[in-house]
Amino acid sequence: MNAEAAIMNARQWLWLIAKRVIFTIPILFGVATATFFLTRLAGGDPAYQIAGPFATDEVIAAVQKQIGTDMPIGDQYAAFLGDILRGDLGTSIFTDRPVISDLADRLPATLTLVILALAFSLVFGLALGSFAAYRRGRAGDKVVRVGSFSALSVPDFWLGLVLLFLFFFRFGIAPGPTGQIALGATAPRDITGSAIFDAAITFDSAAFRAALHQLWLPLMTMVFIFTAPITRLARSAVIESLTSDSILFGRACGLPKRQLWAYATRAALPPVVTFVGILFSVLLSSAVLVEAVFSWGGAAQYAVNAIRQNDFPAVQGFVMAAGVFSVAIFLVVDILYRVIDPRVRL
Amino acid sequence: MRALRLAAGKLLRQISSASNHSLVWGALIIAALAVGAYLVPAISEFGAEAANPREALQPPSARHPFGTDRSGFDIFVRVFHAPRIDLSIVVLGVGIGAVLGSLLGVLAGFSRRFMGEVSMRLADIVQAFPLLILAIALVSLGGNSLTTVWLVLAFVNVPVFMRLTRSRVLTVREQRYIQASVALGNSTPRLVFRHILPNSLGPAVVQFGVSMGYGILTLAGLAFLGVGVQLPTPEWGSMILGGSNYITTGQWWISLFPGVFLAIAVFAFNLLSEGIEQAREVHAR
Repeated sequence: MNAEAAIMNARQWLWLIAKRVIFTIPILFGVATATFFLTRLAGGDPAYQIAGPFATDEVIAAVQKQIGTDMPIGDQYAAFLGDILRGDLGTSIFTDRPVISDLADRLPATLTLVILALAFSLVFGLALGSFAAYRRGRAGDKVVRVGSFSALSVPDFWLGLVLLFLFFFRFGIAPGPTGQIALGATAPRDITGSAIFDAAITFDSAAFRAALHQLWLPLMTMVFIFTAPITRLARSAVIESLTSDSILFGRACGLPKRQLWAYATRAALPPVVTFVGILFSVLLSSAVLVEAVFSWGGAAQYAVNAIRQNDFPAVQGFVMAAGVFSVAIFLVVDILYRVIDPRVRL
Repeated sequence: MRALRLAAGKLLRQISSASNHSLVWGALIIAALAVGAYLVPAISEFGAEAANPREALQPPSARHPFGTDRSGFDIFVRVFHAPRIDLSIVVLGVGIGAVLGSLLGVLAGFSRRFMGEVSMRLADIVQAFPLLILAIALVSLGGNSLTTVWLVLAFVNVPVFMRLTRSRVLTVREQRYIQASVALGNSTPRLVFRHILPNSLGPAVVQFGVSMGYGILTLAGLAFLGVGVQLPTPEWGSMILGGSNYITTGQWWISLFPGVFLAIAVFAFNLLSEGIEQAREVHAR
């Protein structure tokens, strides 16, 4: 490709990405609006929750004035949107810090879990799914099919507890539910809030080993759960592409079976990538439970604690952040889809 | 009503025309769980909410087949009792969500104009939120009661069924028999409810089993976080929560058995759903 064509190509890509980002803005606006009205609709005036069940009318009025719920709902909504545009999600009642910095501290821990789980599940799911498709109808296929169908029914939080019992209590090869870094272990310098990532970028091998030791059990829990749906989807996608005209043509040309199989798996990627976009929000839901089991200390656990303490701004901030992340992932998936399948026009 | 009867009749014919193991087993397991929920507590000598501190934290034995928990509750009887809460709340919530969602989906697919577009974008936005997180926030803010739980389950399922039914309606409305019934001068309500609706419910029926399974997992997940159903109510998720502090000290039975039953229930609904899908495929061929 000559230089001119490369520039044209880059320009096309930039335009494409810009277009998708612009399309995302109204959706983000919708997410913010939904967060506001849903939490308000379900909860009514948060002042009552903040003030507690035994508060006098004066106290409630003071709280209402402080957090601004004495204004008409339209004004509150406008104020909420204005705050969000300035990056202000309110102040947590419990930690007395801005919700946005609380979340920024804790999100990396959650994302470590979610992204690594997604990556491993994709690798295992694609491998198992295309293996099963290749051996369609034979014993290997049956094992994968029955196994992945059954794994769909396993509750993630329960699996975490069972694994804790086996690997911590019975075999003693995993740590207890002590979060990202055990008390007394070498902790890495805190840069992002994700222990394993911080250890990796500071080349701290002792801390890396300590973080890995804490990580593998919660990670295994999530990978077990999410390999199953990816396997099932990959299997049917590979079977479909194995029966497509292009593969038939390849077979007619006498290509070796292994090469055909590789082509079929490659052709099965687009539906799997689309599915990842949907799966991501399920992964975030699952992280809430897995974090609770392993005391992971990420944003999801922060939100659960916030709910127990009636910390309204923190709950609202987390719901909003989760919505924004899902939208962002959909954006990434959309663009990735174009990379994997250049025939698609966005 | 007539439309629903037609749809149900069609489905039953599809089912009975195939030897369908998934469907039969799924239905049998669900029926067994429902019967067990009333039979086992009736013949057991222990009450589902009868604490007995003198027999707390006992491992499984002949007297207590699944052991006892911290308060001396007999886990066996509670695990069987749990579907009364788990299944009924989820059937109610997902059922209402499915009916409302499918109706809205038919309308959105049929009108295709402004209302159709607006309702689809609203569905997009609700579905942008991770389901469990939305459910936790709504249940905890809306008051920690069982009513809120099923309302939330209904609410989160509306967009799912609406989307499925709408996309089916978009294909069905282009079919020749629909054109024919327009040409014969059928009124719009008759067209929608007599011809389009019964032919558009297939994907929603298949989805119902999947949504039920996920609804049970959501209800239990909420209870595990202390939201929704609370101890001492016998419910699988809250029972798992009750045993979670004992897992690291070796009392595995408190959380293990409720989780096994929870997984069996979800498995049964997944089977049922797959069975219905198979039946429809056999019929379509």
